[in-house]
Amino acid sequence: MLNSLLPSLLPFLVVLTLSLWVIGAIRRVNMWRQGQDNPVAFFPAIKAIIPRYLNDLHHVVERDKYISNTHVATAGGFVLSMVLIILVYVFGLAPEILGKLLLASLAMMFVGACFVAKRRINPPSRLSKGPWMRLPKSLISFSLSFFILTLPASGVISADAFGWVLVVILSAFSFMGLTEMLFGMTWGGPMKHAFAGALHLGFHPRQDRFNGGRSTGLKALDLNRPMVDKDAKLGVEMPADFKWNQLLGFDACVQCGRCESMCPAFAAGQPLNPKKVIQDIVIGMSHAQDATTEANYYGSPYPENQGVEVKDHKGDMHQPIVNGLIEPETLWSCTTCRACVEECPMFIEHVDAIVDMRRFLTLEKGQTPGQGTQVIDNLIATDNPNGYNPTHRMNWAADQNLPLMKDVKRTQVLLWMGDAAFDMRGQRTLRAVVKLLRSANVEFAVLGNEEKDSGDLARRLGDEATFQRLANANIATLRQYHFDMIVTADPHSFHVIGNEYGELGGQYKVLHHTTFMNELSESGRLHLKDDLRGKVTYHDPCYLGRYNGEFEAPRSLLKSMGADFVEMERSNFRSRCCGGGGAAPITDIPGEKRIPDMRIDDANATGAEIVAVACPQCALMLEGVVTPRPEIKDIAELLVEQLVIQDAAESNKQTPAEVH
Amino acid sequence: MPLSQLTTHTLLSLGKHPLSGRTRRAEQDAKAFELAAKLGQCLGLHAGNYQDADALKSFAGMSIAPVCILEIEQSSDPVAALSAYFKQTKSDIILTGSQAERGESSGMLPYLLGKSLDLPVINQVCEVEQTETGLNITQALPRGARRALSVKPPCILIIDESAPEARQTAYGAAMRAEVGKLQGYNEADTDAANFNFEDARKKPKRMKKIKAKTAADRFKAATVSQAKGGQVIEPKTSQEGAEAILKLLKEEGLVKTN
Amino acid sequence: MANHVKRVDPHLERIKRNRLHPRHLELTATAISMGPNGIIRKDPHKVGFMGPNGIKRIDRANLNQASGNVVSQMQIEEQKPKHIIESPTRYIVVLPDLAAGRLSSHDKDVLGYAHTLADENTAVIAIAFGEHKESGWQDAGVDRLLELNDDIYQGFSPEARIQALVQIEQSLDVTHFLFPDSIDGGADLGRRFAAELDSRPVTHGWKPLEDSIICRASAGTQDLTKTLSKVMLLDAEVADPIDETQHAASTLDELELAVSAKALINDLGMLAVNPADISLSVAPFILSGGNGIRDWDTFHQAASILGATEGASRVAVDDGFMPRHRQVGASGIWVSARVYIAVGISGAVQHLQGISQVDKVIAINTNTKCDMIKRADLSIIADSTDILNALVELVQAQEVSEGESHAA
Ligand SMILES: Cc1cc2nc3c(=O)[nH]c(=O)nc-3n(C[C@H](O)[C@H](O)[C@H](O)COP(=O)(O)OP(=O)(O)OC[C@H]3O[C@@H](n4cnc5c(N)ncnc54)[C@H](O)[C@@H]3O)c2cc1C
Ligand code: SF4
Ligand code: SF4
Repeated sequence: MLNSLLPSLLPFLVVLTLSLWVIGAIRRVNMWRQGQDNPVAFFPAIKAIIPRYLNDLHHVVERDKYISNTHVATAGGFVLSMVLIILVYVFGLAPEILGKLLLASLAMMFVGACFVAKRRINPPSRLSKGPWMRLPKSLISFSLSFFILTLPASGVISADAFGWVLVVILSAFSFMGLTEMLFGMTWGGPMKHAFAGALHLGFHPRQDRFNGGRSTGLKALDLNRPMVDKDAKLGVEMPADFKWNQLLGFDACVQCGRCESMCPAFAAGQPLNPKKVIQDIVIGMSHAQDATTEANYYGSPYPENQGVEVKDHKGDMHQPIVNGLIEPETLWSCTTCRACVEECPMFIEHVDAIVDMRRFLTLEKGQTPGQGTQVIDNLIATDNPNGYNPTHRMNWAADQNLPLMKDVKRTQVLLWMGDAAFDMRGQRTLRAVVKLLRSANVEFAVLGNEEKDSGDLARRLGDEATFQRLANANIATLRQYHFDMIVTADPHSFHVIGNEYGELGGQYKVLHHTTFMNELSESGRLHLKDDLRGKVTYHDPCYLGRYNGEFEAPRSLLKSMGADFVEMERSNFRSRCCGGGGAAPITDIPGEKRIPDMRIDDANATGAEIVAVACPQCALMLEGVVTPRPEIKDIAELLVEQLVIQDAAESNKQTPAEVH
Repeated sequence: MPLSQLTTHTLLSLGKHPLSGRTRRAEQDAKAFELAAKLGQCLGLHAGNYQDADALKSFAGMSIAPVCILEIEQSSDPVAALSAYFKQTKSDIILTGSQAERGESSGMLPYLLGKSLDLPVINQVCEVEQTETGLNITQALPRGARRALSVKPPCILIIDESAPEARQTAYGAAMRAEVGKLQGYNEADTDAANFNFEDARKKPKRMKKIKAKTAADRFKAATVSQAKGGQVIEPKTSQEGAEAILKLLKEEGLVKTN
Repeated sequence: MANHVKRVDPHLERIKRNRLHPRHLELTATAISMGPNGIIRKDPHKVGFMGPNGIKRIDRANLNQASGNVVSQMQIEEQKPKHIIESPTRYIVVLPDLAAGRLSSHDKDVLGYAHTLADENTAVIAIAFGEHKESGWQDAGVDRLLELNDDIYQGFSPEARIQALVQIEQSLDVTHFLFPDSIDGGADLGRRFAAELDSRPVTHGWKPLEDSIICRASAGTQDLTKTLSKVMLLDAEVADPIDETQHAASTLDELELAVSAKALINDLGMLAVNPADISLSVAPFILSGGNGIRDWDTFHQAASILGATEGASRVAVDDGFMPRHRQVGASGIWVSARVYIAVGISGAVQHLQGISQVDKVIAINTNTKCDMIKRADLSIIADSTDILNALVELVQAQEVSEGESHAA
């Protein structure tokens, strides 16, 4: 009797777990749908999942070769096996052929699972423990038990080779595997990442991120909502205030901790761990409904264990996040450097989430910390963060005789000065840029006192209202004039004007000064000596590199100056932030170390005598590090040092002598 | 009498940024509002034109208390209007700033109000605490000194710079807020009608009067006062260095001279 | 005063006799001599004197006039012309703050302004409420002095003071009541009095014109010209202080004042304020330590003995030697002290931003080239611990000697 029951046990277990999977999936989708609307076309999204997995996701995972191969074997093996298991065991389809295929895919999965197990023997601290330590066992028991059970089913060995005891035991193991893989996938186990992750690839809130695209600008907030709808709030207070597909994204987190290992604030011992931020939100939104008790957190805490302890977590979909799940200091520690986003294999948008929550604190609560309030007040009253007289923006250039847009109306290059115009350090760079433009005979002009802060700081402080006011004012000013492009030495203005003004109606061609100077140098309009002395390394500004993908121009300029160039260990898209972005120096959340100190340590490790920078904020941050340290020079300053002033004959050609 | 039973009014005015001249919440009034937040039931009151309601939302955005405009004509005297209001509506505490950021900014308003309502006025208030018998006030004196005062409400309190910082205005709360409207009593301020404001002239730096009897003295006075850039001493002994410092501290009156 | 008597300074005489004394040459040298061929020579070794830092200085302008026979360096008490108003018909009343018990320079400016309004029949009365230590009334332009130091006028006593002023206003022919518009008391008392008289006062008057005065308005951002009023509150430097004349400062005693002691406001006395508790942003005197402090105990001791509020650079805070709310600078607190002593602080821009409103900066640093020294009014190039220790010793020694002299 038992023998006759056994063959139907496995199909029963598969169908049971599959049904649970479906119920769980519906519940999960409904949970995400409690978030705000953010329509994404359904079919194209579904269609995009597989190509995005193969191209974009794999591209990120591949940075860790070990895990990428492991993942292909395990995940590929599992998906294939699952399809085949359904066909073979539930529908009894061609067990002979498909069974053999199934054996092969299970073997592949098993090999992968062994590598997962190996990684878990002594896991790096960035990986979460808890149920994640169980996962390789579940994977192995799933693949192995099904493999053995399939041996007779596929006719490799005789059908009654196993006694019923063995069959029951194997079935128990395969049930265990099925529970983890199917039930856990939609009811909140580690495998949840597969379900949510796949959908997140398709329904990602930033659809332009894929296929080599870069979508890094923050999205505008509708500031009129509170006036139309008294209950509407600005920014995110509780999980349900996120867009539904942001919630989907958070749910996809595999707790791999890659973000954590890249986060400069985490490394500096500030109370921020991007992985935990995401997990805290997940716990808030899902603990009420997840059947498993695993909606818990087994990764690294916020440094120094600051923050709300997991056991004291109070939160759910409709409860405030800040102070219930996350302390405000955590949100204000972020430099918005995007190192976490760049590294995340699940394409989670930490910076968007953090800024969304900051927006609520600033716009609805009036709780911008540190000097943030002062800076916002200054921006409101004087259009610059330090409260200088707005009519003094051009004072630095009193001796420069710069053409003003309001006089010339039309020019080739509009030089955007940025707030560096008010700062002595920044003015040195600006002078260098002016000198370079003049030496290359570029036709340019500045807005002068008509220029206002770009709005970058206000926006990262969560003050969308002040950002939009500044941006709209700048757009209105720019609208009066004609120019081919904007060139700026400030990557923050560069990013904001180039990527964030568009939504408000300002479309411009914006170039960073290094890009523009590189073009000038390559086209022979800028003559450089190639004898730059001293070992030089280059610090990528986040807002130039990760935000805008410009890694090459500054390096190429350094090389054309003949620099003895060395890369820091963390460079290019993995560059470590100087600590100056996202208003972090203003909110100034204490940690154990300071981010710029760590960056100078990075530079010291290369033995460089000069750290070339390409951002006034980086220059300020790195120069703020206690000496001895390498010299900090903007690339523009180095270029001026290496500039070959065109000889008299050549300049004569340009201005024919009047004596003739 | 627990604090929450006290009724407090904070007088609010529109400020003006000293550099850009833009309208803002008057800083001192915001501090007064902040102090009022812990003194029980409160109302923010502005005597003026209802057209300024939007600008006053910067106070409403502090989410401390409702904000209301006691509407009067441009040419009317706010003191008369406020005085008429407070004769009808009793208030235990009236909090004000010491000086408006616009107009005459004579700082007379709280005193005139005190005179007309016959209330005690205390200036330079940085802390208020309720006691069995009334209020304990901490008065901020120059250079960080503090004096304790006591007074029985009703009274008028003028805030000091060193009172706790005003909280941030939250944009969303400000946008949602509705500014109330009350009809104020109009009495023309005829003097003010003739005021003619000009941009502040620069104050010339006072010339050091040289009381020199000889040419050499005059020369010395001229060179010493003009020599900019500090004195740099490389002392032979630390005692010598310390003496130089102490001398300067004594000149500044920070260390007692004996 | 016998100012024609030639005084001999025994100390200088002793130096003149002692050839080993470092200042000996300074007092005795006749550096100029007639050379053999009748040419006047300067002996370069004998020119000059030792400066305070041990560097030889040449006094070309002869400022010190320290040659052997100019020993009468004593103050010459000049005889100023007297300004006497025998029987005034009108009065101008000035209410000096007497902050710290003495006429402040602001008080003196207001007294100076009073005299620009006075004619030959007008006497300037100064009213001194409460205790004071001032003795220089005559030189500051006070024709009549009214000292009101009964108990009711002590401390914060606006009600009693206003009663007194009202009675004075009723019994004398006063053209103006002048107050310094200052946080030391004048701003408050003046406004109270103006409200009491229901007279619109001049406030923040700073530039006198013919029959009017320019006042600051809009919190200092605008000017408003007002006609002279009965009660006037005046800014510092409204006029030059009295300098050339000597005044009677005779007591004004023909007044009978009946002031009731009843007050709605009670003064409970001054609160003891620990300099360490004063918020950095308003502290008048700050001792600030940076990365160049070797011994923090000495630093704290020095701060407490000098009565200074403690500040710190970012590095000192990051390294855990000072709490965060003590950090001065761009990302810390912007201070407004009268004197700021920067010990072992290099003067990074972010730090200098925070002390931009400081009046006088003293730097103690081992590095002559650091930016703090460029900003400082006085720089001592030495080790931080040594100087702080020396300061502590010096102040302690002084307190001891003071104690002795009090005992004596
Ligand atoms: C965004 C940002 C914000 C910042 N904000 C602030 C801020 O608000 N406040 C602030 O202070 N800093 C701030 N900094 C840091 C600032 O740039 C400097 O790093 C810091 O001020 C240096 O502190 P320090 O002068 O104590 O140390 P150092 O620069 O190391 O200077 C130590 C000084 O001590 C002297 N010294 C050494 N030994 C002795 C001795 N035995 N006796 C006497 N002197 C000695 C040295 O000559 C040197 O001048 C900020 C930096 C950044 C990037
Ligand atoms: S957020 Fe992304 S990078 Fe961070 S732990 Fe989760 S999956 Fe990994
Ligand atoms: S953006 Fe940078 S600082 Fe912020 S959480 Fe990510 S890695 Fe950390």
